[in-house]
Amino acid sequence: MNLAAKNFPANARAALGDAQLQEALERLRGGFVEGRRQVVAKLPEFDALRGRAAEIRRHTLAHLDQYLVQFEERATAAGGTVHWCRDAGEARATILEICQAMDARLVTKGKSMIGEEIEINDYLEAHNIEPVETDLGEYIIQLRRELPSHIIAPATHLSKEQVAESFQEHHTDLDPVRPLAEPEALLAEARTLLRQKFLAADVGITGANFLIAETGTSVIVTNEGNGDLTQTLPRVHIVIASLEKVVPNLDDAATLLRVLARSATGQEISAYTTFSTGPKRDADMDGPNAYHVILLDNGRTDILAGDNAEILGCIRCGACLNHCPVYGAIGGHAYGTVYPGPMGSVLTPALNGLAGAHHLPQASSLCGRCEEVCPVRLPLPKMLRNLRFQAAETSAPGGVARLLVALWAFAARRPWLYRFGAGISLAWLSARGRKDGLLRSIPGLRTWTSRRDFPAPEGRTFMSQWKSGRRS
Amino acid sequence: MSRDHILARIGSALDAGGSSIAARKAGVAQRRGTPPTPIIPARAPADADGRADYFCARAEETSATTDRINRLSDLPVAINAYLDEYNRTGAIKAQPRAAFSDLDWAPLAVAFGPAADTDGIGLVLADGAAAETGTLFIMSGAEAPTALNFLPETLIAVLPLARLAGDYEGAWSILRAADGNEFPARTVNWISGPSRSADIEQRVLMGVHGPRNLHIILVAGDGV
Repeated sequence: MNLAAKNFPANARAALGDAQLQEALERLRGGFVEGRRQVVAKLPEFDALRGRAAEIRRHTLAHLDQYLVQFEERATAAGGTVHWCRDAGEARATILEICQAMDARLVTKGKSMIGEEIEINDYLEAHNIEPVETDLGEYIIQLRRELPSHIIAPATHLSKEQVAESFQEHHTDLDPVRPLAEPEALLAEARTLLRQKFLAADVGITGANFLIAETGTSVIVTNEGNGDLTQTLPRVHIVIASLEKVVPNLDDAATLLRVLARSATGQEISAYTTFSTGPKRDADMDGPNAYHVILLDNGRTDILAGDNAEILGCIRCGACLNHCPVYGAIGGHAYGTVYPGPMGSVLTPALNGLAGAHHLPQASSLCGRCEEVCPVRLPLPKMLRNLRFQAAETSAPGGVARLLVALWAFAARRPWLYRFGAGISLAWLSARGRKDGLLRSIPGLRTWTSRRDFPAPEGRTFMSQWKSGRRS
Repeated sequence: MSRDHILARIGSALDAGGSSIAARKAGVAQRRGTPPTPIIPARAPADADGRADYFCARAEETSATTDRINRLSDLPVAINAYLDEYNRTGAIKAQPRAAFSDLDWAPLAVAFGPAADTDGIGLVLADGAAAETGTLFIMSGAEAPTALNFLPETLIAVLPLARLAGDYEGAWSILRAADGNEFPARTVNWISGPSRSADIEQRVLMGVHGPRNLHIILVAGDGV
């Protein structure tokens, strides 16, 4: 699979035929979707909390410069260092400089989508620093040199057999015939190996689920505790966060935390939520000596000025992926992007431009489930439509699509021609689908119908039925 | 300089939407002056006993185990019983605080200090807790090494009932009162159950990197 958004149609075709992937996607529906349904049913205030969460995100984005400056001021007062970075290159260079200044050889990493976005691992490797992902899923895909297929469950596309193969291939110091059939054995092996990395690391890099302006605090949410070992044991803790992660205060963070895990994994709360403010204090027994926060723009200020600024309210729970019929059918890799699914289809073109990503906003039935489950009520279908408009205005869609729309428009302006054309095609399609009312293939549209059935029309147009007196 | 560049771009994007820097400053000040009242789930009962029961029920849902004792001096016996019952072994490392070091631990051997990879069992005191999801709040400090919350295979947390709030907001208030000007501590850990992962085939397994077991012992009253 060629991981680029422009290859979306081919990737999606391959994904639909991948039996192992289809099994994995089925598990995702059982786990996250059902889990969310159950915990939401147990919290009568959930919808009110979503409304408040949406309000918090809107208010923060509308006052973004103020809250970022306040965050910087508080984080600095606590002894931290804030680095503003315009793009991925500047963020990578800043991180490398911090690592090199202390002769770092080994860097542990908590799970961070910004880390994926700026491809920090490749960059550190190229500069002879070993980056080790410590979230189990991220570790697995790092071994396999893959992109995450889901923003919160990066290895969800894999089977335990595939994980075992990767461990066999990479953990070459271990007995080659050790039993690895059960997930428990895989987990124990990862725990032992990564424990050594935690203890030896010079620098720990984490993302941030939130930055809190009032206190200059960064927040991470994990279930494994890997983020905590990553940021507690090494001498330096680097937080990488995009600009929009900031929220005003601790109470706002609590509100968002009440909807985050419930929407994401169907847990009432994740096992670990950690608030970090500056480096280790003088009296503290452990913790990093230095605390850096990378504030990354990388296209966010463009988004803020555009039609889809609301996407910056996203808190990366993944609910829109879990509930999306398109993501559910093809998985994350088919999108060919760091951020897949509905939020990714909005964010990717906004970050990287529509040119290479014009298929993504089309990869939606606009059924609206994403908006229904979004904990901050983002109007994802509306944003996808905005992008479709933009794509239509530019030359992004192919010539064939333009030609067909032009033909349709020509006919639609000439009722006699439209009725004539519609009459012929309906009669023809209806004849083809006479058996059970479904069309399994339509000449000229075989690509489309190879994966979908089309309901066959009744036989005559509304206009002709009306004329002949069939009015009921 | 990137900072000014980014802030200017944010400013012009927001200005284009009809805002102004003066309006934004006023908006932030206004919200700080009269913050919205948090929407707090009406979950945990208001009375102390009911709240403790609710906390335990939620904590057990996260696969933690719980126990209740009347006074801190009962702690060594309770821990000994827990270790026996669940057959937990390994060196015991406790936070180096008087509340723990003053206790008579025999026959258990307990060391006090920062966490080490060799510690099998960690013993920590919670600074606060929220019943709504069975969540412990633990601050870093001179007597509280953060790594001790994560390195041992089994974590035993002692929670004085006076530090148990119904909700997150209440637990923050308890920490704020205890921590004074230092608030918030370098690290505040919210802990809700043992370490877990569902990264392999969506099957939930315990003890990925942090503790495989979390045992919470509630002590009546202030306890310490």
